[in-house]
Amino acid sequence: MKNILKNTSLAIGLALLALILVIAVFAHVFYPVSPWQSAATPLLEPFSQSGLPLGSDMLGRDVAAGIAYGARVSLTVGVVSTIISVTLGVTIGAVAGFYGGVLDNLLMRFTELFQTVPQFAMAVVFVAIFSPSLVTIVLAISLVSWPPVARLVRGEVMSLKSREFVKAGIVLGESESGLIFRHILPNAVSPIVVMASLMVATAILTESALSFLGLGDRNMISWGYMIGASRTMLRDAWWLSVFPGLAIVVTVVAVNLIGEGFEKALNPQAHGERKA
Amino acid sequence: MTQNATEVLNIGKLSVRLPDGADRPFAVHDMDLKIEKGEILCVVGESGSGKSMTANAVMGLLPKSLRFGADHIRLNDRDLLRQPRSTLRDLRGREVAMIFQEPLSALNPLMRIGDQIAEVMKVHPGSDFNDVRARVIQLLEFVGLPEPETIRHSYPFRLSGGQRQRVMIAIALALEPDLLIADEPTTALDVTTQAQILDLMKRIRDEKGMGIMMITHDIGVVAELADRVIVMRQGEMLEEGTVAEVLEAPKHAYTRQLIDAVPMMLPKDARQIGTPPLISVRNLNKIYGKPGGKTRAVHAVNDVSFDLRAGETLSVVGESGSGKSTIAKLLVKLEEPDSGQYELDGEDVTHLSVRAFRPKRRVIQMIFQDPFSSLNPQHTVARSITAGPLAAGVPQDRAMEDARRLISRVGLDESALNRFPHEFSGGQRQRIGIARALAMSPRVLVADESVSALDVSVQAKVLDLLADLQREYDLGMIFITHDLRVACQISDNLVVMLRGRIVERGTAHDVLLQPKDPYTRALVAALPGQAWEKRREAAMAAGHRA
Amino acid sequence: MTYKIFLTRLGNGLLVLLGVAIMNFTLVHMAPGDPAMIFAGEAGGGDETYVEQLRQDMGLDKPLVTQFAIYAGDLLRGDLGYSFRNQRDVASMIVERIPATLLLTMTAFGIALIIGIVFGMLGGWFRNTLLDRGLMIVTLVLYATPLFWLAMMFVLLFSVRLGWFPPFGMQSVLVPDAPLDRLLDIGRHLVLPAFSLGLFYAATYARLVRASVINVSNADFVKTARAKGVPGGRILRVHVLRNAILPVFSLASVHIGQLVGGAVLTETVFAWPGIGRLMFDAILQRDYPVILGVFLTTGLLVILVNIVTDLLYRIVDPRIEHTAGN
Repeated sequence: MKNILKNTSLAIGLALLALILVIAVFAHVFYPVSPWQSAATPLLEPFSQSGLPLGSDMLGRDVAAGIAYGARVSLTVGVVSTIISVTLGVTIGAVAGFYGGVLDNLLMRFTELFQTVPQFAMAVVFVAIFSPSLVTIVLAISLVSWPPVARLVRGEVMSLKSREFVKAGIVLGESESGLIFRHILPNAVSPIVVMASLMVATAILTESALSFLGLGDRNMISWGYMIGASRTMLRDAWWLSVFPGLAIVVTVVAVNLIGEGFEKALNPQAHGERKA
Repeated sequence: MTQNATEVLNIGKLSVRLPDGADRPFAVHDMDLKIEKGEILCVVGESGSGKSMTANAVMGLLPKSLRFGADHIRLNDRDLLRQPRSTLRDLRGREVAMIFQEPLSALNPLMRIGDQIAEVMKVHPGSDFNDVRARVIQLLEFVGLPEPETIRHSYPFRLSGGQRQRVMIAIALALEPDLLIADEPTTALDVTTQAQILDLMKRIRDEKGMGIMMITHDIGVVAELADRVIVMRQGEMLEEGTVAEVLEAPKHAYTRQLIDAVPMMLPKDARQIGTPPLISVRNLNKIYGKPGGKTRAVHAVNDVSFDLRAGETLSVVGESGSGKSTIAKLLVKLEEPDSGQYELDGEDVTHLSVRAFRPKRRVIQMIFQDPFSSLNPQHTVARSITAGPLAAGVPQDRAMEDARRLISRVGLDESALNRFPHEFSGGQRQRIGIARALAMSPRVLVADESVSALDVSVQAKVLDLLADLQREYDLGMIFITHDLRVACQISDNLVVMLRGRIVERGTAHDVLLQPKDPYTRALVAALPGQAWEKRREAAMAAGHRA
Repeated sequence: MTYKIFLTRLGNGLLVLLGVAIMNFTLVHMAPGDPAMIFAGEAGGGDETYVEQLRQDMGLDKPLVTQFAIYAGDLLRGDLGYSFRNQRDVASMIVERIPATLLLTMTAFGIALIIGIVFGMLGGWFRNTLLDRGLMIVTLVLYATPLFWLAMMFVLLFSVRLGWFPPFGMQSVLVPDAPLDRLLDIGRHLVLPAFSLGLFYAATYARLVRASVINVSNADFVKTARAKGVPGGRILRVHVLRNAILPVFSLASVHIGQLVGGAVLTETVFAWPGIGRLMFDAILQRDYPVILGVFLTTGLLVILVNIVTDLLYRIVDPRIEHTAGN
């Protein structure tokens, strides 16, 4: 029973994400015309004209095309910013946890600072000051999302460091780098993977929120931007905000399901079973 | 259906089924058991014997995933199998109570001690104890806790492990039940605390006339406490009888084996070793935390001096917090001493950095305590054993060759090298740990509680292996342990530690058989089952003469 | 002893504030262009004499340390700068909007706590039942829903379609005279923003509490309670729940920060007159002194709320006092 459940989480998540990935990668094949260009009369309701299943916006742009191209921004930002913040977090957490003492104290103070400050407000300030672009958005999200990774890794490293097999490594004369890279980090991989997959979800949400506030990349259409632009039209054209919103929900659910699937798959077993 | 009026518990053909895919179909199979008032029944067995399952089945505390069945489980005159859940709930605490192994986690951390005791009265309305406060104080006094009025208002974290176990007993006694089930209640405690708790259990039997079902793995405890004994292995009941019958004339070979595995208090013959010391420690000190700092400073090792020679085994014995493990860590440079001198193989290494000490790792090696965490779960056995030699610059094929030789030497098959730690039992893992230490061809082995996590029969075999290896390689061995019987069996010399200080030292014979220091005497006196021990030694002496 | 802890907490809070000030300062100086131009508002925002005046005030010709000292000194005096766009003092703009934000975030926090704890408790206690599965799906979806979008969907459903609650603002255009009616009016306006902000975090808490309840249910002391004959309901209330809620408190500091950040979005959708909406307007106008000032203020709010939750935590968990007091 447990196995099936674990697989369903992961399977549904992966299937959904694969679908979104295909849409993102082949957006230009499905919709050769730029999503910024007018394709029909403005404010067409969904399913009222063939070829425009999700209707058109106030400038006659195809909502479906916008959603297809928007997937590119969401996935790119989600994955790239997670890679950056995981790298940052693992480095800081591993150093703090392994060496301890004053260094640990300083690094954790620093981490706490970044965690206490309202992260979204910080991202807003960062993007606003450095002017919105894909790069600043990715950097802003990375900047605000590494602290939980650092804390997690620090905790894992500290607990692994007190495990006897690491002490045995010291007694056997293994080098520091050997202890970190052969004994400690490989045994901390599963919680990091779980956290990273959940961070992709959060990053997608944060990107959409920034774009919603008008802090998105002007050159790329994104789901948050579409919702933000249609905010004043809510009363008259519900479809302009409903569909991009659903796209976000589905994507984030998919990513979270994958994270959950990982967690269920990695946690109950003894670490390292059947791993060579 | 004739039931003796003094019988509190009668179990007929109890079986507990294990989930599919377990190594055997039943955790407990066709178990029959009865306990009378004023009687202590010890159920003894090694890990996985099903002894705890039996206890939990009586209490209705088995996990839901385990199904169990029986002809009957009669508590006093009621068959528990035929009672509704609400009655079962009410009987718990009122007619049967239970205490557990881990006193540190058995109490709710957010609730005052007094409230946790009073709760038993609260959830069993109509009990005889109207004045709850007075009853709580009375119970705290009965279990021997000082200042009951203060303890009543304390939270559990302020109490020691032994004190918490007393509180658990007070909770169990609150409504004067007829049956007390105790699941390894002294296993997590120091030997002197254990002796006090065992005395308390005897008092409960004698003064309250309760029936007690005591689950234990410790033959010493059985000898000390039991009126009757049941021996279990792998869910099967092997034999039952009075304590004298079972311990002195066991019918089953396994029982015999269990009893023989308990080390005897017969020290080795004292030897004179004339070689210069491999390890020489003078006035070593280690303090955790700064004096006057946020947390109280602990003088973990206080002015400790000793020598160790090739072929000698020096045991460091003491209870938890005595500093014995810190000594092990100082010797292998997992910790730095604050002052004093440490010479290893004629060289002063007191203040060598971890890096500078690295070449010395070939002289001194360590065997760890926990067989489940001392091997990297992601590395094959071969990788674990060769890691040290490889780091020291031994070529790969030489290291592998040594690993093959050593794995056979410690009694495992060569194919073990390609497998992962989780495929081995605790005893096998400990053998792997020994092979890993030997791979560095050390001259000194530090063993930190290296057999205390093992079942007694496995423990005996690992101890034999260590003794053989010591002779074979002329190793000096520092043996850290809390177990006086083990220390007695293995050591030439022995130091006894209390709060960081060595309070007594000498040959194993002198220290354990003629202790001079009051603390050592208390430790020796606290050993459970000494009367049995005497008879056993006498019987053995008689056997030798015959 | 408690006041000593309070002081340490306050000291830590000041350190965090200093950190935020350093961040603000660093960002402004790392940004492309002249810091004075940024403070005056983007190109064309200020006339030359004003920008020159700013340069003088900020000490841009002096070393960075001096510049920071000037900036920190201003902050200490409560001077958050001047909004050229609005021709107003930033601090006063923010102060008048703080009550609205506090009302919204604290209500949302309460909603998140109550719903989260109830859902989490039910899910954890009846784990792997249909109820638990259902709650898990609800929280999974809520957890994936963008705050601002949920807010808009609430407007669409409860204001536009059903007309139950007003779609924006904190008070009706015609403010009722009677104090009670006025309170009710604000209450009616508060429902949608508070729920749309609170539900996301309710999902977070539900998952946290569920995991925690399951964890605590397996604790030895719960087994002790069963062995004592304590009924199931009482075990849940007295033994499991209190222990299971502890992680909620210890994570409160992180969540308060997120909640205040989230208020920016909610206030934007509902035109709620708090500092979040102020920030959104400032973003549109590229009014940097206001953006930076709001950021600093959110940091301050979080620190204050943290001190309160910290003191509460001490009441709930007796062990804390012990470790801090020794």
